[in-house]
Amino acid sequence: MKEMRVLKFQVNDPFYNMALDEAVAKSVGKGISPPTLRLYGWWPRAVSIGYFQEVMDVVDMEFCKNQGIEIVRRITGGGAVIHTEGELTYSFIVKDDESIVSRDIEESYKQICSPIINALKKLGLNANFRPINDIEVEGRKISGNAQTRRFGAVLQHGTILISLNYNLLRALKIDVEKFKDKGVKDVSKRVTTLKELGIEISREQLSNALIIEFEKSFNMKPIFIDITEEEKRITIELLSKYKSSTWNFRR
Amino acid sequence: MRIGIKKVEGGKLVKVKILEEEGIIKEIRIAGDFFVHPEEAIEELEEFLKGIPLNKVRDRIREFMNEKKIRLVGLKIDDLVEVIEGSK
Repeated sequence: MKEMRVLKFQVNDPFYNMALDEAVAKSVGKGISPPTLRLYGWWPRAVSIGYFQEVMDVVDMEFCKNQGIEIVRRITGGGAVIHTEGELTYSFIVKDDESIVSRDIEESYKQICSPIINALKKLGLNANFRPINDIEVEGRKISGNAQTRRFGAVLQHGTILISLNYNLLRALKIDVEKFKDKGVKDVSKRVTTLKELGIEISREQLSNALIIEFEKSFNMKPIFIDITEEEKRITIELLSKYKSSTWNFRR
Repeated sequence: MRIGIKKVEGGKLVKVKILEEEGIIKEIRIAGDFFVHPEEAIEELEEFLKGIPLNKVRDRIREFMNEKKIRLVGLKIDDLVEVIEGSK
């Protein structure tokens, strides 16, 4: 049985979080590190924006500044996300060689979301995949996911909302056009959280549930080891990129 | 500046900002919550479109995308063309 490295749940600052995802992708892509499931949280709170987004279009900078919310651009496309202590983030990183996930990007979102859906089902929720990259419960988004394929790796990271202070959504400028095809106008009606659905669970507990389901879905045995010295070194190197305005405000 | 915006049905949001002079694209920014693989292709496309007449965008984008084997997720080439052509 193939092994899946699990990087246990840890809370880090936003820039470190994005730097480590990239460092692991580089290492997995080269075949140095095994397929990896990483579980993490964010502190301080942050807005992450998609690779192609214009920061001024999607972030309320003034609000973020006043609230101490950091801003970081992701290596992945997709939309802006507010990351708080009520969210579990995961990343799943494998070699881009078809042995674990499909070459077909839309299909692979479904594949990688399926263990998350199964974990939510075990909690008694009627969760389903909503193409292209969302997971919904009762028609509301509970998980958003984004993927890149570079450095010879597939990297998918995503969020699962446990709870959310909806006031913090003011950090995001959301175009009214965005939900037009989903029949809602207000972002707070587009999303839901485990808490709202009556489930009290910690990020650590939810992490454990995900590990079990990823093991089953991909038939890989979890091994609990830390990142390598090389990954640590690359992460530190990449920190300056993710902290820089050249990267974060490049568009 | 011309701005074009489109929410692709069942897909993503794409927004373009264009500086044009006498029908020629001088500067262009293609932004949104879509996915492009490889990601750098969008910057290359922006660069490629500079100097191209707006009415030639359709053919040129198609050439660029096919030649470089770029994968778009959440929007199609036609959506991109439409949002550029429809910008005001």
